[in-house]
Amino acid sequence: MKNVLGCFVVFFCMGIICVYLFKVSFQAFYIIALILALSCMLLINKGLSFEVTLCALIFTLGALCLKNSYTTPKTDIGRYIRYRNNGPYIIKGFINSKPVFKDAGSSFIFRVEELGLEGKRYKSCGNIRVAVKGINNFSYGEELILFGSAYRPYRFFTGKIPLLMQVKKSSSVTRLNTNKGSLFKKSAFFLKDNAESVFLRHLSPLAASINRAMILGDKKSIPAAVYDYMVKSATVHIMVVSGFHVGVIAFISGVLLKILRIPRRIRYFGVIFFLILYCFITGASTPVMRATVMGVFLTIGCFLQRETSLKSSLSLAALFILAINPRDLFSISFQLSFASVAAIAYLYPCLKALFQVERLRIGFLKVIANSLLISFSAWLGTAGLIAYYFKIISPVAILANLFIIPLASLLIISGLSLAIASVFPPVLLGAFAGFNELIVFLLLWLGRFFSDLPFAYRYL
Amino acid sequence: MLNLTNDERRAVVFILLIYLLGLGINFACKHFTAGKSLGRLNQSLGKININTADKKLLMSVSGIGDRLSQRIIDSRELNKGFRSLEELKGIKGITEAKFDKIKDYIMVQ
Repeated sequence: MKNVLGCFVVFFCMGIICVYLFKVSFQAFYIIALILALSCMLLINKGLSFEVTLCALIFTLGALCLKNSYTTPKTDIGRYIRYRNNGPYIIKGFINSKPVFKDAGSSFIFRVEELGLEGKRYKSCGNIRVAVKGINNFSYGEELILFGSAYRPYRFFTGKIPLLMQVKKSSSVTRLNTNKGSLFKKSAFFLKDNAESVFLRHLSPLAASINRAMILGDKKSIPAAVYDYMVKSATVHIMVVSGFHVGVIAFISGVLLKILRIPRRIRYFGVIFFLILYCFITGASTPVMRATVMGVFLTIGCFLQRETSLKSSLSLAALFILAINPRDLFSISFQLSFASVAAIAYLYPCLKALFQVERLRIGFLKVIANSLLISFSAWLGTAGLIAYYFKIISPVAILANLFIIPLASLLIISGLSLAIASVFPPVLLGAFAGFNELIVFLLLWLGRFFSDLPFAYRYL
Repeated sequence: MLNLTNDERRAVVFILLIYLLGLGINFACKHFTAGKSLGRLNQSLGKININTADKKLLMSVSGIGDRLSQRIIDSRELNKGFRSLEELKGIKGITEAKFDKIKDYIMVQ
């Protein structure tokens, strides 16, 4: 079996889907898993029997992971908040995300530690989304006591944080002037704020919003018009932080550490540190996690001087993400992110052999042919999902991506250079900002151009 | 001295080229135009073209709701497209104040 980890991913996902579709008992599956684990140990020298038992074990592990994720601790806040009982509730805890400020208010994810209900105090845990009116200077890690109504919306699709709390008055918030956040996350948010202020100060509002989306993973400020024609030309994926960003970060951090004369073996750990830091800066969404996990495993492979494999690192990333949160399997971003990379990993080599690209003698033509085939593979891998979820099909995607992706790559490099150069005197920033504006203009102009072409897209 | 590989050297030279190009753009902007950067060119790319936008896109503009967006679309179909933004003032629901609020987010093309 060439890609063992790929096979594990398939069986793990089948286990997750089995629990999603059918009602199963955790205890029964756990006993089956134990029996299968023992059987694996006994059959370790047998060929096919061992492999079949191992696959069955992976299947049950996937099922158990999802079943376990449905179960919450007895003190979880979700157990106190019923569907038709909105409170009010008093909760104590700390801010567990970077607060988002909008319309003289803020919203954030709140890690609950204590709950007050009907005059009684309870030890509690879990996360809840909070919207506060009237205050917009919260920070990550700040400890608060909140008074407001909390409820469980009827339709909440992510399954990660199904509870919402609304605090309507600033007087309902008590700030305890202590901070419980992790130093690592605080540093990541500090760097993110710095980079945001650099973009806002040195770029036009539109270019700043594009850079914030592509470099920092903050898509909220992208104008609707831009988003619309990027969707129509099937180039909206460039707005998502992904593998190229992680590759550039790994490269830049490696070069910087080399210039600082850091020994080679320690440099690898430095690169891994910067990759994880960047993952937190950009919000640790599924595509970023995938790219970061793949980057970390590829770096470890280089450190151990082992041959690296795109397919194995992709499979490892999938197992890692699903083991933490199996419900990610049903999220659009997980499916699109992995489908596109899997299509490039599996389809692209076949297409390359089919069209005999290696036989092309002119280097420039070879690069164009390879780019076309990669774009085509990614399009093939994701077209079905995009048609199903977004009800749109974009035949212009392959041609548009051929031009947009190199420009997006240049924009990522110039945006990152702008953010990193901010530690130097501001006089250096003007040049990077000028180049950045040019690339943003070209990128958006091409996106609009391709979306305006006849038969560029069709809604289903 | 720096012990950089060929790939790393190419990357460093590439970043320096980006910087050089950016300097040239900056200089050209200051020399030939009133502005300091190319930011002015980008602004229209973020605006919604009211001659092609669908209802959902029109409603993404703060100040344009469900009924107003439908009136804009109906007016567009009746007049076979808008020729200038000022024509919006003739639509019911778009007062002077509302027009001032939405004009920075829309354009006619």
